[in-house]
Amino acid sequence: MRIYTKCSNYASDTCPCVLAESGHCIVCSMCRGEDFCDCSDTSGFCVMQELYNNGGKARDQHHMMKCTVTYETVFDDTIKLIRLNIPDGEIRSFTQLGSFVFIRVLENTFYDVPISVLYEEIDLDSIELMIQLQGIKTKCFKNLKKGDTVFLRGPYLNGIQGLKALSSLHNSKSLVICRGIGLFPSLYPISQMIKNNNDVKIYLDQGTFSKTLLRAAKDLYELDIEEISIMDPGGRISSQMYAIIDDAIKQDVKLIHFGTSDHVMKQLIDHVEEKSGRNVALSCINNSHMCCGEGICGACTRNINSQKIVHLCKEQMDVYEYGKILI
Amino acid sequence: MSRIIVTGGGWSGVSAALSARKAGAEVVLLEKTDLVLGAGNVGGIFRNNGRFTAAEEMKFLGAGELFDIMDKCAVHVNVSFPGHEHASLYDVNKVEPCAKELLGEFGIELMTESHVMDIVKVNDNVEAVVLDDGTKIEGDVFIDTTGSSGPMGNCLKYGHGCSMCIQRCPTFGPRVSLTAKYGIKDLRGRRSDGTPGVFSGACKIEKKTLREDIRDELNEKGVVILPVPKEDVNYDKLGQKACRQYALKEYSENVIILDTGAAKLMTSYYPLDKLRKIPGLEQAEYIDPYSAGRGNSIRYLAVAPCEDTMHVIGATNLFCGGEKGAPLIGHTEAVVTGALAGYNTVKYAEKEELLILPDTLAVGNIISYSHKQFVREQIYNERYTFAGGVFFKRMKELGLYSTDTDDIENRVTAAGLKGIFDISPKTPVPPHSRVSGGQL
Repeated sequence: MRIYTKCSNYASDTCPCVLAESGHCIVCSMCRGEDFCDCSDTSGFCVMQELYNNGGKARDQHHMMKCTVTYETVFDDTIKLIRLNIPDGEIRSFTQLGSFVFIRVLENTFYDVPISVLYEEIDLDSIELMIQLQGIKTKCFKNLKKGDTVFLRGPYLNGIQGLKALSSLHNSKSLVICRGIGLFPSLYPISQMIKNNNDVKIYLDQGTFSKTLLRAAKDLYELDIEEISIMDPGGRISSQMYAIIDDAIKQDVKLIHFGTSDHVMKQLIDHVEEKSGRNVALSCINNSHMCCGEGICGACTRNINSQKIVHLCKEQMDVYEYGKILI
Repeated sequence: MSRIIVTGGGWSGVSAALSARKAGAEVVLLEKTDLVLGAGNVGGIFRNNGRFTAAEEMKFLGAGELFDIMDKCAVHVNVSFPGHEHASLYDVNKVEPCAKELLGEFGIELMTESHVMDIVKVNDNVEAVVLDDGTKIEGDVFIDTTGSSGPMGNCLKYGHGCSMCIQRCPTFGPRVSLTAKYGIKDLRGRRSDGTPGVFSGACKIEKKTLREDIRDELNEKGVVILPVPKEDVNYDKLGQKACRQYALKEYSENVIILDTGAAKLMTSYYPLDKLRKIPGLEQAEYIDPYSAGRGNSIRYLAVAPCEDTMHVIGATNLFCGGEKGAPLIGHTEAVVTGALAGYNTVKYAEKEELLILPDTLAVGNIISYSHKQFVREQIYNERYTFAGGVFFKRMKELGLYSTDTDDIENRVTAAGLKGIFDISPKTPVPPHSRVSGGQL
């Protein structure tokens, strides 16, 4: 079967985007310049019609917002939680599953870093982000204080792969496996699943976190987390982890969500595929390296079987297929 | 027992499902909307001109159930209007539930609101169709009766945008060509000026909005003809129409309204302000397509190359019916090709010889003639129907047109095909078998 992707931006406030305007739409064959409509995986919203109605131009795109830091705290010297005040009227668009933003402290746009939205408080016009101070972009946040200004662009919507499976899961059982910082992009999916009356079992490997941080995370978000070691001392996936997954499949878990590094995720997805024959739905966090988020720069592209280039900043894939292209 | 998956629940898909079931298969019928019969919900005209012959031939061939339904729901019989004799008009508001009931009686598993978006192809064989939620429906042989109208992009580029027709793409998703997903290039019908795609040929007006005397006349006679003001007569539109049988100058100089439960206006899109200039239609309002004042759906942009058995050329276990399988117009024609496709899928599954309806029957002749013209000789700007145009002329020349049922019975008997489609269905099928869960 050929690999289909969907656009997470499809039918959003910014669709049609510059890709449609320039003849590179992910969804619409006619916007790509083909003669006939080959629309297969969409409904309700014709990108071509919307582009036509908008005079052949893209809708108003994401623009840079200046936001004020209203709260900040640092855990373990490496993880920083910041709360931002969003300018008037913009907050409603952050409330979708998979939302992430590009944020930077410096003027230079090279420093834009993609961070998942943990939580938003519509009444207070604020969002929360958890940043691991690790590389050149994120370390700029170290000295950020309450009242400082940051530059923010978003929201973008492809922070999670498997959005449809996640949002359509109701009254079922699900399993969440996270490691380290991967917990935080998974918080929104977890809360969505709980909201949809699912029985969510969460396993967390503390990774490089200290026990203090783990406790803080649990208390902060009121999570019932079971600790586990995903890796064994030899750096391979532990037998305990495999046993938990196998057990979950036997107990008719409908969805498994991964919030781990790509290296771990790839092995876990392969294992689920082997054991369940793709009968369990999957979702996972999107760890792709991104720069523009618009499908333009190419930083997040992957090549599938030399046949198709996917832009992981925008495109949703079947997670089993996604596992195959992870490096 | 072989398992046949029919995608597209229009007249053709329903007909294919019935004949496959009668030939002994387990049948699943997938339909993207909540109604079966597709454009049949706005059709209504049958038994006009050569369609009478075709309907009777199908009855003697043993595939008469759908014509029985149409006859049962007929509100007018033996109606004449320009270019057409002895037409029957069924009530479009009554026929759909009857068809659904019939599918139930025959033990066909009908899955509505099931939008197929892809196929699973392994070594040139179709193994399953994939719904938009990722669910895979497995089968042995597949029939594509997805039609050829829309989706919205085509209606925009080759028409006047989505006109909000009965297909309801914005709600239930776009039509998807399974043959194209298989890797076979769709053939495109053209207008007389060469532009790809043609407009659907009729609109529906809410009967209550007609002036009372016009409404009474329509209810009584089944047809009303009103002259178009001279300044509004537009002959150019005839070349854009799908329906060759109504591409006559009378249809430009007059508005012809038929009673099919609603008031069926026999022209493709007509600006509402101009329509309301016609005495009697001062308060007229469209109910299908809702935007019929501006446009109509675009059709014939996805016809698959088929053999006369309805087997798709270049594919293995894939068959076609209806507009998908030949540039044929109308539901009588759809029932014919659907029934043949359904029957032949079972023969294919059982590795038996496939049936070709002979040229001595109108129903066989239209399939072979349309395929010869469209697929082999690449004449893309013609459509074929028993009710008019070049094929009705051909029927008359070949002596195929007849309203004498004894004569029609004799020719079906002479072809050795009497009751061929009429085999009693076997054991009932458990619902929702062999469906596997979805992902994306």
